[in-house]
Amino acid sequence: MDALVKATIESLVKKVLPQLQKRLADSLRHPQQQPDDALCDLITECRELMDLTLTWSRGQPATSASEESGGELSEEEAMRLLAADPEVIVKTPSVRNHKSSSIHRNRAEEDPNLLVLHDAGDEEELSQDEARALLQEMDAPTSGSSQTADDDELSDEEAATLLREMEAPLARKPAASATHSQAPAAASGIIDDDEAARLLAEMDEAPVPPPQAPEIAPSPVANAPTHSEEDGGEIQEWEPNDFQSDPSMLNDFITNADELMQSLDESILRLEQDPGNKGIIEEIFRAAHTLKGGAGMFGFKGIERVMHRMENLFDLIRKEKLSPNSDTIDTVFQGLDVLRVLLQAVKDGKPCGAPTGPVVRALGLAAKGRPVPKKTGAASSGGMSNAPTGAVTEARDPKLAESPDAAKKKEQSTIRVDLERLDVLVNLVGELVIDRTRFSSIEEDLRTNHPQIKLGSNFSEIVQLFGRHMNEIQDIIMKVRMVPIGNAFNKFTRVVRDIARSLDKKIDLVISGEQAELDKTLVEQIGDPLIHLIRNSCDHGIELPEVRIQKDKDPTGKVSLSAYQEGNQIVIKIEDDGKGIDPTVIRKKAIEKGLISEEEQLSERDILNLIFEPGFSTAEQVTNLSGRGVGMDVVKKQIQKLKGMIELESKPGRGTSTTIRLPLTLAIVQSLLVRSRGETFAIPLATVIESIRISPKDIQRIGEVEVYRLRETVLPLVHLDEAMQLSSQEGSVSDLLHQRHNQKRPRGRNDRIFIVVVGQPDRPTGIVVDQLLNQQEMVIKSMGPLMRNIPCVAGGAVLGHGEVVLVLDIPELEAISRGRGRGQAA
Amino acid sequence: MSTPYSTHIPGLMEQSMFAIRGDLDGANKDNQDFTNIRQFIGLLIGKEEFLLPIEVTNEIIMMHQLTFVPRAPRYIEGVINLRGTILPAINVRKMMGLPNVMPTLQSRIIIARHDEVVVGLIVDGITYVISLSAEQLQQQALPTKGTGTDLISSISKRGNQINGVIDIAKVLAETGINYQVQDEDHDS
Repeated sequence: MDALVKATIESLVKKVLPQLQKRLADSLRHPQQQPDDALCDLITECRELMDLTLTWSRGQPATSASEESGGELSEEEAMRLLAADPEVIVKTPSVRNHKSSSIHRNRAEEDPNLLVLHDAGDEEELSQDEARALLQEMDAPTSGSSQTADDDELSDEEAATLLREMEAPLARKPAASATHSQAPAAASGIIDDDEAARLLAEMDEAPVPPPQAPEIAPSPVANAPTHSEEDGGEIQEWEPNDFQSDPSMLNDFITNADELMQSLDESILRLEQDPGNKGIIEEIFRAAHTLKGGAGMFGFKGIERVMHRMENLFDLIRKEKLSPNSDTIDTVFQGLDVLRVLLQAVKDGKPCGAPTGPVVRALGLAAKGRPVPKKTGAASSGGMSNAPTGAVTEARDPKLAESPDAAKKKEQSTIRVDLERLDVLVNLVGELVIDRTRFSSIEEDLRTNHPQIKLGSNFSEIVQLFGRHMNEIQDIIMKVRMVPIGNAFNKFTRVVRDIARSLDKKIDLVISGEQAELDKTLVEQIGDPLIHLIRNSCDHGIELPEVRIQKDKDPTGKVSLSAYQEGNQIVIKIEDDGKGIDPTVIRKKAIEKGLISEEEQLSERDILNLIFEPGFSTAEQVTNLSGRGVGMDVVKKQIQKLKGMIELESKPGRGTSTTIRLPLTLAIVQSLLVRSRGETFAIPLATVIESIRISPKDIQRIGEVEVYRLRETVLPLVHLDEAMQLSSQEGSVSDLLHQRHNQKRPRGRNDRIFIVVVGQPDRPTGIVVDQLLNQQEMVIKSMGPLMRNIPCVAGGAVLGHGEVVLVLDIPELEAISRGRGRGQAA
Repeated sequence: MSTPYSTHIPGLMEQSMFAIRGDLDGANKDNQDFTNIRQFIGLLIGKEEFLLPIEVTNEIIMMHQLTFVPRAPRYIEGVINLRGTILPAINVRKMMGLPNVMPTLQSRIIIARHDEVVVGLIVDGITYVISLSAEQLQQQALPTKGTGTDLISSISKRGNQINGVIDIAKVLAETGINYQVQDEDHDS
């Protein structure tokens, strides 16, 4: 479609429609009042619009594809008009019939000034009819005289069905159309006896080619049901078109939609707190409109339909015709949930068939300010209770909330890059880092071992410079992948709100440190474990308001989510001021489940952390929110997969706090190279606290376990060669290969041994190795599908000289030291 | 995940030494019908020659370094570095029940691929690229008795010479890892 024409029409429609709606409503209220100048102006505007469409459709008679979009537009317009004042139609059924035929007659004569025909008293139908005529215009782009008859028939028939529906016995068309419209009438009848709804349903159905008008058979009106305002029925979710099959455009749409949904979520929550804020509602409206437009362009009718209804709702709020209460917001969230399902379907590449009807109905009711029946059946997130007590206040800095413009300014200087390309780049930089290490080792080797070669200062200098540049590149490329962790945090506000409402609790979610940056993949993957923890806090932690008052606490519970950087790690804390966890209960449960024995004495902290063990769930009863069997062990596993650590602390009656430590990035890690039995291993430096050299005689034994007293703490020791069963290497091919190359390193028990202290600072484990080599940056690589589950090995890395070293999985090694790991079972 | 390596071995076929033997196997050098010809890599395990379909072969490399992986799946000797990619190396000798021997200068690692899995096969030597017509191949699984018979999916007959054709899928299955299921896990 000609973009210019479309833009003009669109702007006209946008300008005229709301005013017209308002005027019409006014004139309805005061039927005797004479129309004023403004109304006349509006009519002129309408005429302009009409002219434009006419000229355009005359100019491009046969391009049916482009007609479609135009058709949609005017249909939409027509529907909006109709939605605005259904009563008008009801009031003036008799005029309608006459008018519509006259319009069509006029149009057949191609008289652009058809509106002049109508007297000022009839503006209502005039605009109706205009819209209708416009619609018809689009339906029959080749509006030659031959088709006029058909057009006339069609509209007559439309009018007929409308009238018949209103039990006005004016129907002129016989049974053919009557049967045709029977079914949808029945379908929409399930709603309340809203006449307009039926009318509209009828209207949408009517233009579907009746037998008399086969010429218009492929008419774009097939789209019409999309806009059926009150129709609770179902529509085709997708309408295939060219845009849909263009993957890059589709991708743009999806990313955009995700962002818009996110911002919708946030702004709606803010709106709930501050219903009068114009800025927020404008923001919401913009986002909704953009999303609707995009979905319409791609032919995602389901999304467009729901979005359209929401937009209408927001429009009412914007015009202060409706003030949002928490029920309205709930309905809107239901809509957003359905949208999410639909968007997911777009991502998956096939329609999901999620019903949009119920939520469209609910939104329609909400727009009228009527209570929404609870059994909407929409795909909403759990039955939200109606309790007005459960409102969540988002205790975020109001200044932050009020500066969306500032955020936008910053966004403008960014570009979107395909993550895959970025990954390739990161990998390449990783290779370069290895090359750099290799370069400098060659240079060093030449300088020290071959003094006869004159290197000159240039060579050394360039190697050094290369190294420095590489460092910078590496820094930057790592920063490129970093995104603020706030991206993962923001959706939790909504989660907490929903939980609070469904549990009748009052919960404040305090988010801080959302600016802390983290690798994008980490941010994406940390979401699920965090949701789990937050749900736990809300469900099991925070007590009901009455209980809290009894306990002398603020009835509003507080869950705080914070993040900050600590050295090479990011620390995420989830704290609540709920009832806490009783270690004795945990202990009892653990004994019951056979995780520990009756006589086993554990520190309070150890007991608490038992809840991370597989098969441990303290939920006395399975609630909607937690206790589904996917327990904390899953959370722990996920965190460990991200090379992170998790710890739990709790004070009964005072609250629980969970601390997650994650490395900033997974791509390039600093590692300490150690050697044991001639084999080299890498230990990620993030887990290393210190390394010490001790004499073997300082090792003491407690039962089976060897310990070393390091300052104030007792350090349990793990011999790397035993833990990794390095003795099995004897006689293996690599062993023989070493022998061939005469590389077999003598493995002597020195009088001094090395201990690498790893783990959490307050509960370290010592790893006994033969030798400490050096520190190096390395890229941890997967070793392929066959090697995914090697105990205690997190992956491999290639060193400068091409040798592969194994990177140790420290949490697993620690588990071995405590006798609970795969190592013991294997 | 697609592997960056093609199944074709560039340069290998052009080398006359490999081509000659294959051609000699055909009865008539000029009128050979190539539509029915399949090519195989001849490899040595101990003293015995086995064949490996050329389609599953990415390349053949010298045996330089091998990093021992403790507690790896059975028959996996360790990992090798193939230009920055880490691959597991399977000890075919061990799979066939032979003891490990000191690697010689003839020892090679064949980089083979099956589905999405790329592995190295440690062999004691490479003989030739061998062309065989369909008649010279017989689909025949051998009773699982003796060395490596369960890795064989078919038998080649060239004059008096009978060789087993190694099935890479069976080799991978022998490691006892259900890599395909794990792939799905990984994707989901």
